[in-house]
Amino acid sequence: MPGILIIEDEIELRDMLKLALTRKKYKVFEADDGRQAINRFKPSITDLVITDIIMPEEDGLKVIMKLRDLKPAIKIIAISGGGKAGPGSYLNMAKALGADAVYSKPFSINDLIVTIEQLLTYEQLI
Amino acid sequence: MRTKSDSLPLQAKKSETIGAIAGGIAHDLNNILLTISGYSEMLRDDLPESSATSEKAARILEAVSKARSLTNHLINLSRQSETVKIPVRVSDVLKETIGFIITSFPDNIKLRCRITEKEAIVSADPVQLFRVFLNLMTNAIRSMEKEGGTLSINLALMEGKLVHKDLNREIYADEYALLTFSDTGKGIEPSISGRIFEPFFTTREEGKGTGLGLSVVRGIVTELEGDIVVSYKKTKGSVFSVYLPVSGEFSETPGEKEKNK
Repeated sequence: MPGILIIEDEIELRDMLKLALTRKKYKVFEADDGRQAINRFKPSITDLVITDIIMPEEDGLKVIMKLRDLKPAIKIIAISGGGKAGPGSYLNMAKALGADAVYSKPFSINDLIVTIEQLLTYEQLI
Repeated sequence: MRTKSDSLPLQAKKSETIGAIAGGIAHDLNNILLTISGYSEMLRDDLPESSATSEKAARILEAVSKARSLTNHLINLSRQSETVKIPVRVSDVLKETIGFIITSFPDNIKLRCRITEKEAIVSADPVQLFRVFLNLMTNAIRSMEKEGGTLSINLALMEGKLVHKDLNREIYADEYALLTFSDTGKGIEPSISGRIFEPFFTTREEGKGTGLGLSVVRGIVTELEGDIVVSYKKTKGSVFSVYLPVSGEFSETPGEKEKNK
């Protein structure tokens, strides 16, 4: 079963995402922030990463760049609730840095799952 | 909110605070809304379609959607509070920025300011313009803080066709206000010169700079249909040139009207 790493500093939100993904039989790993995620990242068992953008310690944009170095083929979905600049600005930057898909919070969990399935199916085909 | 007698530094601080608060609230609310909508979707999926409880879950999702449009309004509102373009005399904002920064000017740095065009008017938010000038001055000071040096600021008027030559691109105004901020600091490495306007790019120690300053400056200048370019030497000094299209007629700012009453 594909492994998904969720990087999100809001614990309630992380719990919800974990439940939604484990219900679909994905193996889920969690990290509180960007720095913890990079330290705990295991390329061999992680196929996709869902990362928040605004987080303490290390933000999601730096995480995307580091993950691309550690595992160039990793699939990345960036999610953001915005901030002063609004979610669009951060997510555009995430996309420019190599995120495969971006979602502005709040979004539909079912839509997210469809995107995950598409990204991982495409991964298996190539 | 701005009051008529607010100075630019105070307006900048207030608008930054309002933006940060509104953005922070929107961010936190969006996180909470996603938690609510995520569980509601799972609940709806678990229940038989068109059951009474499933419909209640759908109602929660509708409410989340409405709340989301409110958080969008909050973000837009905070942006609007920051950008109100009015005819602004560039020299006034420049003087006010210098007046603000001069109190914290290091002893080992000299300031030279030459304003050859006092009446240049641009259509801009004075608070945003203040941010641009403050950022460029602060960067110049930082580059010289160890060894000292001179910060030279010039404000002049430049014909559009000469700006066209300088920038090598199509330009739209007949005249531009040209501001140059020259320092005698450590200069810019050619290898990084192409990246200095990128968001999150910084040469400062980790934790000391966000790397957003110059990207914000470029964003503001671009929004004013102007341009910013940098010229530099590898080991000593850099010059940031800001081109702002001159436009409109000057009318006193609300603050000045108040002062002149």
